[in-house]
Amino acid sequence: MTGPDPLRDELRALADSVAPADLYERSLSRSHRLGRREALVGTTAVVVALALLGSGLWQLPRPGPTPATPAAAAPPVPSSAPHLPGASSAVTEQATARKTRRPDRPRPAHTTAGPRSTSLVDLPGHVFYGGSGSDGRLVRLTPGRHPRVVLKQPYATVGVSPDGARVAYVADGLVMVVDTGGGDPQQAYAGTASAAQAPAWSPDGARLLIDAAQPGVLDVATGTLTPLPSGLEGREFRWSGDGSTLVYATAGCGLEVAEPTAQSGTPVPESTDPGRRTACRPVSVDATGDLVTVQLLQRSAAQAPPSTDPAAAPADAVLDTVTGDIVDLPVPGQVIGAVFDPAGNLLVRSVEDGDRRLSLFAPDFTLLLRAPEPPGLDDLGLVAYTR
Amino acid sequence: MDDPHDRAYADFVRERSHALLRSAFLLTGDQHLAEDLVQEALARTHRAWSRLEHPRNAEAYARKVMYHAQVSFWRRPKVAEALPGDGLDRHGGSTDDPAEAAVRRVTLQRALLALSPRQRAVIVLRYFEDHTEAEAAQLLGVSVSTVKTQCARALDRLRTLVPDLRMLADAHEAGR
Repeated sequence: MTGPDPLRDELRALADSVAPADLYERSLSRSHRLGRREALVGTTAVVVALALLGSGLWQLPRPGPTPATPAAAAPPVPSSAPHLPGASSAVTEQATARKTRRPDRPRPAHTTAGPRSTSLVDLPGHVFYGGSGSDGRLVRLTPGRHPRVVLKQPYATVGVSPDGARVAYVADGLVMVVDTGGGDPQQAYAGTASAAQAPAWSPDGARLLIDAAQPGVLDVATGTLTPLPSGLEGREFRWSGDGSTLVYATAGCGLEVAEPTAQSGTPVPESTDPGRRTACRPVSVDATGDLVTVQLLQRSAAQAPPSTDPAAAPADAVLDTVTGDIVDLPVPGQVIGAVFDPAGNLLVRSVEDGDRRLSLFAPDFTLLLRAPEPPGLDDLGLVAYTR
Repeated sequence: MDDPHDRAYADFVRERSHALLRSAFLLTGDQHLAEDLVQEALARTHRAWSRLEHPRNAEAYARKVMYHAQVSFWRRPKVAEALPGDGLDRHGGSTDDPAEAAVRRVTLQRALLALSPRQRAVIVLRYFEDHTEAEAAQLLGVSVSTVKTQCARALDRLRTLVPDLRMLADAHEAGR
């Protein structure tokens, strides 16, 4: 920057004309007002959650997907690790509130404590795998049963509802929704930009975050699309399990977190990966938004348009959204897939010497299960783990 | 103020709020609106303080909030009255005459307010804060090509409104 530069000079001269101001007290006062407003919203959410708990609606049957309740007023707050038959119930705490942030966040133990179960039959919920490219297959693995194809339709991107009962996919610019139990696909929205956003289900299963002309939240029952605040500019939006937080990628290949109604996001500090890989593709978020599974890319490759197809680009790491640290996962071999369920339980797919395994961690990183993956899924990518 | 976080926040406000205020003044064209904008950015930074850990993250966060607020929320009438177009005086940039310097500032201020909020943000980021196109894009959460487009349009507009800045810094910017 040499030589005279009239614009810069004039801008500095103009900026010099602003008078100093003491903004400390004013900003604190404003911060406290914001805090009170957040507390009011939080209290309302707790009241709704308690009402749901009191009504017994949370007691959904465990085996088999059940239809979602689109009219749910607010997402139920996930509150427990999955119950493993024969396992102690001591792990049924967790999914702590968002306010209890770092640095006391549980991390995986570096000891070699064994899993509580080594049988895949004990894995609660459903695991979804997808074929890449034009394969168009979405396969559901329900432990104790044979893997079942629940979608065979070429799609650009796909998202599985938190209860595993429905799938939203984008094909030819249309957002389609289909029950995983069978039935005809229903059009939920026309005119989406499929390359920018895989349909992301809200925790209550009533809404989809899609990319229309701009990212917005689609009410599946009514078809009403509500654009996100214009300050939340990004792609690959994902909900936390409690619905309080969105994690998304920015145009500059970074990550940000934000409340769904916020005017701007908070940048996630740059990742600390020793291989100088960068995280610019969130895949799934834990219960509170503290952790996110991501696909790491070499920095040189990070400028290329990312794949939004979960099967083609599964997550291979877990990132702390507060510190930017990559969480060291105690699994054998190489991580080839990692997804959180809405309650914050983490399912990790790894491969070692050609053997593929599934490891399930509770939100406090207790290793609940490690078991060989059934055959026939090798050419598919891990897409989702649901209730 | 026993809490270390509170002390760190107070230090941050004391050391950096005037720098933020200078940028905010260019974005809003008004002392009071600039103070409001910085106050909002600082308040949200205070809310997020425990997540930020380092003061440099705090300033980056505050600036990001400020630019996003200016481009989105402040799109409404939250800028000073602009009187763009006709009647902008031509004054040379080489005089030391205080009166002429004051007129030049007013002329530039009016010209900035004639830009769209995003164009103004890009100009301030590129030519006042000296960010690269990529950095500006990341801060605003838009693509580099959007920054380039908005910057080119803004410079064209400024050249029209402030003829004496006709030799705007595009020659300096090649390759940045």
